Amino acid sequence: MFTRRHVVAAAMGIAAAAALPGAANAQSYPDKPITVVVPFSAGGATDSIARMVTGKVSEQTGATFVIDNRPGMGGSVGAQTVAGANADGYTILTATPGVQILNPYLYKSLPYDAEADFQPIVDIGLVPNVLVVHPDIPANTVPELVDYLKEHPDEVSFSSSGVGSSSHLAGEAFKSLADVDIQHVPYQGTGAAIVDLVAGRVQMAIDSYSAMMPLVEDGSMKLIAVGTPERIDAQPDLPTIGETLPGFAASGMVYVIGPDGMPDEAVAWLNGAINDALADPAIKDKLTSMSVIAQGGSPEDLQETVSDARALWSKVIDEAGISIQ
Amino acid sequence: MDLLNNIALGSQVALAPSNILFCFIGVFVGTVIGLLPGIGALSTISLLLPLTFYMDPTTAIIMLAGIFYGAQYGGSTASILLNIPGTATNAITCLDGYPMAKQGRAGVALAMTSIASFVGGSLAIVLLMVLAPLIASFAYRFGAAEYFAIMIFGLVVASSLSSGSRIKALAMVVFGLILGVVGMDIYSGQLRYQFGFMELAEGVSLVALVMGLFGIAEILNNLALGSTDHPRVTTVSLRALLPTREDVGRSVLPMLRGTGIGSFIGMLPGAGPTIASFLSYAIEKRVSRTPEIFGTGAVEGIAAPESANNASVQAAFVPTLSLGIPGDPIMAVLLGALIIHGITPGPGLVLEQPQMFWGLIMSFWIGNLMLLLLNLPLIGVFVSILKIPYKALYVGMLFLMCIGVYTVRSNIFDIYLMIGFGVLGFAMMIGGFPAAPLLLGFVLGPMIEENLRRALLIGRGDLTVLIGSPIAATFIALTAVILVLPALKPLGRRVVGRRVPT
Repeated sequence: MFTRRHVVAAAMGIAAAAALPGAANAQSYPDKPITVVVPFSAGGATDSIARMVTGKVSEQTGATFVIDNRPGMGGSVGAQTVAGANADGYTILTATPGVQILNPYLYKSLPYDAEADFQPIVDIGLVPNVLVVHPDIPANTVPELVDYLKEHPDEVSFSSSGVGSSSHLAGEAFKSLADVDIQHVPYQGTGAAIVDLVAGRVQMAIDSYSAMMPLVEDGSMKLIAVGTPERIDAQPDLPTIGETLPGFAASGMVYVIGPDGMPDEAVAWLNGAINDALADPAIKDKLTSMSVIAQGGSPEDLQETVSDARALWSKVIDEAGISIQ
Repeated sequence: MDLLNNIALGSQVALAPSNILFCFIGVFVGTVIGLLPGIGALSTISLLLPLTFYMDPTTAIIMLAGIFYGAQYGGSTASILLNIPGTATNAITCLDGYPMAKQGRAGVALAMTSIASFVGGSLAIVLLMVLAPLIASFAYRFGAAEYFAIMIFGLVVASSLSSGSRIKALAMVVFGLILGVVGMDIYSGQLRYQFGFMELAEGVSLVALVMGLFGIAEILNNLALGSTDHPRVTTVSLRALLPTREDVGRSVLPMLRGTGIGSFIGMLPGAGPTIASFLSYAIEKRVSRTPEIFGTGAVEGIAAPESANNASVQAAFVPTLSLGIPGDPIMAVLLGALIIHGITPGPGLVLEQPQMFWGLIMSFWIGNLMLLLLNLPLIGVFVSILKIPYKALYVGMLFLMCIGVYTVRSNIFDIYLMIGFGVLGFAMMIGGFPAAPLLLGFVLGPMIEENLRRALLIGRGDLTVLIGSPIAATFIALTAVILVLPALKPLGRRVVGRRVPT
């Protein structure tokens, strides 16, 4: 009864990785399954990354992880779950920029404190956004595009995966730094915008590398620049938007945090175990194929990255005047 | 010929023993979860997703897809036998399926839905195979203005969905439109009508609404009125359970039309099987010479929507795989499964992974055949569910509905919401307000709003964008004709009447 047993296991919310036997472990942490809250639906990019990385950690350490999908409100629902969870180290969150960096500036009120309620654990990776335009736009570089947009005010629209998403804010940042007049058109997810982008009804986007690359490869869109602070290894010749518009940096990231007050032992164990998993070549390759640049590092490194991003985004959100109730 | 090569390649993949096995597992699980009210393909596929990480990606997608279309087969069973839809898509099948069961024709209804699902699925696959290369360029023609026009057309066509008072039906459409507004506005991020409940930020749960209005209301109705009007099993011979020649004859055209409508809707990312089944029922009622028999157990009223929903599910795989556009949350999970395996859905997929694309399409054939063979012999078993005393049955149904509604968003609030809608639905039953038009307004309303506002955003507020393309203009014109015709009819009669010498 292969299937039945597994259906039951899955129904109980136990990731398949749980089937792996626990190896002998001298430490006291972890001595029971660790719940990993993913604030997005199963099958999405964040979910896939969380399952992939925790799967590898299980394999290497014998620890057991349970993935708990709590989608809603740009990650806030899942974040609230973890902020209010018992800080014993057995509930952690796979966070994206929404949780601590964007939502505090976008929403008038959040059901958690983005700074005080969380303990940084480890940075998993950087998810680059790229600037693409429809081939009908006669521009192949950022300066050419800025000139074109200045000559054709209020003619070009940019798509985003939703109000308050990193693609929306990247577009707004571009608009304010380049001082051009472009119209934001939100969609429900990047996939939903693809038809209008390819058809040229919406002509530009600064959205996830993995979603945009198939369109670039097949000639439907032109790749202009990348939104990361530095050039990326996968495209060393591709300039950053920041080279033309200093200060521009708009990309997604995936990282792990827990509730504030977690035991140091748990933070140290998780940080070490996830760093080890990220060092595995197979995981690196898988992340690269999903256009995630593996990061790792200490909890303090993560804290710094998040603080820097908050400083940048608060400015962009303020200037663009974006607000969600 | 290319197509023949592709079919040969696909068959080779689909007929591999492991793929046949997992296809069977998929369609079997799909049938079972379709049978259980409230538990849908989305939560099942999400739960099984982690298992597929250890499979070959083609095998994984064959199994997950099998769950999706298998659920379309199973979903109508509870609609027919208990007047409780197995999934939102099958709500429309209650309208004629349950009256058929009351007339002692439950077996016939179940057989017809299996046959209709098979016809819809199989013919849609043929369309897919022949048209796959064209569908991509076809889908790119549909922008916000085109969607808006089609959805408005759908709303107007389907406003006459139920029998009985027109005013009450229209009131329910409007009520559905209002419920569809609840939640976060995707253009501004503002929360609308959530009355302080954060659980409503993502809108009213479709499953909670359907299970409440149809399922809970039906149970309340039965218990409160002590109704003895349940469908009875009078005979158990196989012969009496099978459709007559007349049933089959009357269903042929509705099934073909249902398949056509379902395939068309399926190719449009975002429209989905619920819209396909509602629209095909409404169109069937409009083209019928005897629209008055709809709602009283017309076999056309189950054949059309059941073929349409299965056709739309099969057709939806083409834009999903070849364009990388997930049409609904289920497709998004399936795309996620592929991405985890390092396969990027998109224009390159059909060329780079022909064994996967064509293997999947050929597996649809096998899966649909399995489903037909699985479901027909089980009809006798399903019908005997009616022998269970209602008092025992409804407890189990309530239990399953609560689980089903909860699993969609892991949210207790949705269960309370379902109970609330159940009470409302019961009151509506007493007052003679039909639930189907409400559901229609709820499903179409948000899509109409989203696309209208997007078209106007892109067009910088210029209203002519709404009729700027031939597709949009055609549907808007058709809508106008449907709206104006009934008003002109009495006028025409009067003119004719005057000519008659007195």
